[in-house]
Amino acid sequence: MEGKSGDFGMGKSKNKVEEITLAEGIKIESQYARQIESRFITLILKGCIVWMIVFGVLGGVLSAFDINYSVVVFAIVLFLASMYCVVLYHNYIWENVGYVLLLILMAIVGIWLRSYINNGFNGFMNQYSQAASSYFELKVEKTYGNENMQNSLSFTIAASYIGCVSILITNILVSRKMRYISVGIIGMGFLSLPLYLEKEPALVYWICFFAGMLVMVMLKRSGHFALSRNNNAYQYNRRSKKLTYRYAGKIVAKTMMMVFVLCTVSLIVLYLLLPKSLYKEFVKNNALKEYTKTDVAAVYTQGLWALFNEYNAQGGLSSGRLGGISSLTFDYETDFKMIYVPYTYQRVYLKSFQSVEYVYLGNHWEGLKIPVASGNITESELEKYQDVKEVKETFSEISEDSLKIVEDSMNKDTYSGLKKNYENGNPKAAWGKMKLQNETLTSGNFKTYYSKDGQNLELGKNAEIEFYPMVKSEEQVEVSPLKSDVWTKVPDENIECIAKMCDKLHLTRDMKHEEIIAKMQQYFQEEIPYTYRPGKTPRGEDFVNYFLEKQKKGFCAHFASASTLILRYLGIPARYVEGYAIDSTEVAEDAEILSSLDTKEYYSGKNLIGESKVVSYDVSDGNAHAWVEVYEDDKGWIPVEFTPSSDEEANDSIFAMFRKLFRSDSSTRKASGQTTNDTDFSMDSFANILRLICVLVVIVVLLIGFLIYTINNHRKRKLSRNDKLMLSFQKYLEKSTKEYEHQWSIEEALEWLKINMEWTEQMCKDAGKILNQAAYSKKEITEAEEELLVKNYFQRRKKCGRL
Amino acid sequence: MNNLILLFLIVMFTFFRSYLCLCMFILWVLAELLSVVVLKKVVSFAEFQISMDPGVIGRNEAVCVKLIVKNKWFLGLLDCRWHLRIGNRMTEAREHLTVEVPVPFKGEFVMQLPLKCEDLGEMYVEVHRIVFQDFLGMCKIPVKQELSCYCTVLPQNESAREGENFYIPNGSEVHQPREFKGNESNYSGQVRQYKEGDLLRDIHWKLTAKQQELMVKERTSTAGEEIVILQQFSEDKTENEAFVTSGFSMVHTLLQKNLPVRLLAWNRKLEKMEEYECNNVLQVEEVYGQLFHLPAKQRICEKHEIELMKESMDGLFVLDGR
Repeated sequence: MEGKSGDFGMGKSKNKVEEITLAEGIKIESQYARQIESRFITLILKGCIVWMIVFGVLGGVLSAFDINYSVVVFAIVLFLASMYCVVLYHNYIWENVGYVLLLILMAIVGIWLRSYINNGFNGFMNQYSQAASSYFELKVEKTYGNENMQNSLSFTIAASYIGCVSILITNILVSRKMRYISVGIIGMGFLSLPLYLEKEPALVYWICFFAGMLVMVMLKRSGHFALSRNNNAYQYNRRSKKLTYRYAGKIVAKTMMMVFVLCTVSLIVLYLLLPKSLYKEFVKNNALKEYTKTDVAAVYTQGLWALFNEYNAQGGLSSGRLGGISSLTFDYETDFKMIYVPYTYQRVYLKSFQSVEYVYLGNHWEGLKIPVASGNITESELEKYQDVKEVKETFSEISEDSLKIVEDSMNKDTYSGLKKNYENGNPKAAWGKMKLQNETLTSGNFKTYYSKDGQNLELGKNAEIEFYPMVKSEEQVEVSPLKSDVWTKVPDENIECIAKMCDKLHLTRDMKHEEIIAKMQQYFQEEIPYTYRPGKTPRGEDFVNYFLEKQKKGFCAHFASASTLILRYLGIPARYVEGYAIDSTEVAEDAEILSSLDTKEYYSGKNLIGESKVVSYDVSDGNAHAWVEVYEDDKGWIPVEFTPSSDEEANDSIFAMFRKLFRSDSSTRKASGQTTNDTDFSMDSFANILRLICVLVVIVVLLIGFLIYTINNHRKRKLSRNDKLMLSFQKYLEKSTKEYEHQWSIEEALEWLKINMEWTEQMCKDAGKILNQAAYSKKEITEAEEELLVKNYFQRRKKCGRL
Repeated sequence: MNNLILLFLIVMFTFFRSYLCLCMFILWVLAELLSVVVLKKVVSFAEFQISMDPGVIGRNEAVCVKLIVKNKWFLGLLDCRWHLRIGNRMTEAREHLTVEVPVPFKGEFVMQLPLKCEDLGEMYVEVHRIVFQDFLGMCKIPVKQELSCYCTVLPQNESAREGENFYIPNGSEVHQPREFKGNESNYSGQVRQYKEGDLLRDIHWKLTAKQQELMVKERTSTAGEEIVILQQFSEDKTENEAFVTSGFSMVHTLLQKNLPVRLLAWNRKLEKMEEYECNNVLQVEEVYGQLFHLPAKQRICEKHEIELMKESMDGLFVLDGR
């Protein structure tokens, strides 16, 4: 018998007959209770339920996205899998062996057909991605795998394989406990994917899913579903004194038929009365869904972190989003290779994102969202950005031809001036070419300074950028003045905080730009430390205000954002920029020299570092950086660095400690923008190891405690009632007195209790009788007797407490 | 829970505005309606029976209780709960038990409940309520029922019938019927008012005290015809079983020797001595069935009454071990 409810009849041992006492002297006899309708019928019915649910859900999702696969094969495979899974419950041995066999089989099939499964799954994901991108009107569409490989066979195999896994899981939920809530939530969760994107699954799958769920609810409510391992027809619940007949296979079968017919007929009638086409005319999208659309789109593009006001914190670029990152971690995998000729000791930048307006509420920098290199910008696309008023005004002033470089029109002058200088043979001028080989980046648009256009860098493709490096920052070119004051705008909410900061640093509008910049750099370096783990900006707080007033520590995005607003407040046109920054020291250490390539093809003109060769440098998320661009009337936009240097190591978390412990290469790379020295073993890392050890010790102690508790419980459960009572008595005595000795007889103990614990004569008499029976008789004491002693007598404490 | 499911479907429909979500919502409402309609119909079409077979069993033998549901309608239900009372009238053991069985789609469903009784007495099963539940577990319809069945649990018949050794507690012996002394009479169980000439020992003192007038127990003559045995009972279960076993065995033995027995037992409720004739084995089983119909404590005869009876009937054999 297991727990409070259990089977009666044959236990684990076939010779042991168990009985259930209904009333004093009245028992249910097991040998007559073993009346079986048919275990197979019930098992097969459960298999049908599992099949209906999984087929309904997966088929529904696949049909909604118009996946081209063989439905018949899919249905047959699922049916066979569900039948196999439910039949595992026919007996105990088969249940254990069968699951292992199934898992082995699935592993073999998974390895054998992995390319088909991967292709099919990727194909589905591509279809889903396409539908999602179209629904959310996203410009970015995620792609998975190689589309050429995705065909009907791959889809069928992948769907069948995933279906088998789903059947395995659903069967566990259905066969034992009929957990319809879990199954319903999971099923509806999957079906919500197409429903949210306004894709309707086919009717037949819907009927299957609904009918399956309905039968599950019915069976759960009636209780005629649980099967024992020993073929008993009844299940007895001791607590509620309820005896349930569970082999109601034929009645359940008829109920299933009834439900299926009801669902089919009702849906067909409904379909005829209110066709889908007619329904669509009436129905409109609701405001609730529209309200969630942005968040769901964010989840689709950024993952679940988007729900917590966080986005991918795995280094890299964030396209102007701020505040959601608590700490930075880096994978240091190569994003792309940069092939060029090093020409300066200064940092080389590759821009990807340029801001226009700082949005206070959303805590992000609003870019123009117009691909810098793209010339195909239509009026309708520009309409989307009309909320950026100043920029809109700028748009209205210029022709469509110039729109493509409108955002960067100020750079055009610089680029042209530098090019002219180079072509005129100016000894200070130079020309360069940079090749970018994409390794793992999904896509991106990059440009280095003083190049004409940016280059779209797509996965698996290369980009080439031609530029005229301003090898010396003093070099002057003729540039046109800025037309718009958008670059000096500060949101009202930030003005007070920025003004305070300017007062604190004694910065005024009449100061020289260089002086202002120098003072700010000094302040940040001395007062506000750089950290990879500043903690995220609390919800509702402004990113810049919080950084300057409360947080007072941060990484590059904090410094660049705050600096931009301070500069703008002081009337200096500035903008926040994101991209990759490559230091000459890193290039010197890590870059690979490509001797086979001709330097002249990549660089000519003045080179500040003298003669150098073509190198290939692996750019990773560690190089990702944010900085500020300041507009100088005689130079155009120039990069200015406000991020202070730091000794802090990236990835210095507990998880990183683990990685470090198992990494053969002990060197630690630094994120870009930081010039630091490697330290082999710092106090910080020692403290982290200590923390790690403490955590491990706590985990081990908890595990041991849990194990001891479980074993004790298990042992206790195995004990007879007599033994349990004697143990309780012993514990009671131990708690009551230090004088207790294990040699005491029951009578001695009772005598002691009578004297010291104020037990009455009657209590001693009763307890003596029961305890003697428990100790010496084979006959088990009754539940009432046990309760009398444990709950009443053993709770007795002398007023003075422990003796 | 059903309301939650309904709410969930409404939210799904409101949120997605999907055509199939609307269908799902409508289907669920239909299912709920159908569930209630089927419940009402089945309740009106259902019939119940309860039986216990065999009617007399030996101790530790099994008896099969059959709970039968007949449904004349073409749809059925998955759940109908029988609220039973199971117990032993003599030992006054009693417990409630709920039995869940399905109601078949037009037909009969028989649930066999195999019971074993370890104590002597009258084991009974009573149905006092049957609750029907609809498919979705939304509503329940209780139907009052007064069905019952019982069986008598006697000491093991084999040994008694074969006339083997029977147990007489506390050293009592069984003798051949002796000649009765005195007026050779026995109590008939009737009580009447005192008349002149009535013996003092025939006075029913308890009743006299109650009624404030002299009452006497009437005697019937049994001399030379049969043996009179007073079957005594006890509140102690073990002792009680010993009394009954010995009485039962003795009666069987005497019957085998063609000696008819008259069994006396006190009925405390009616405050009279009940008399039972035992001329054959079947009659004995019947008699004990009637004796077990009352709790043992209702049949305990007071000591002074036994003494009075002994005085009036010299041949009275008291099966109480004294």
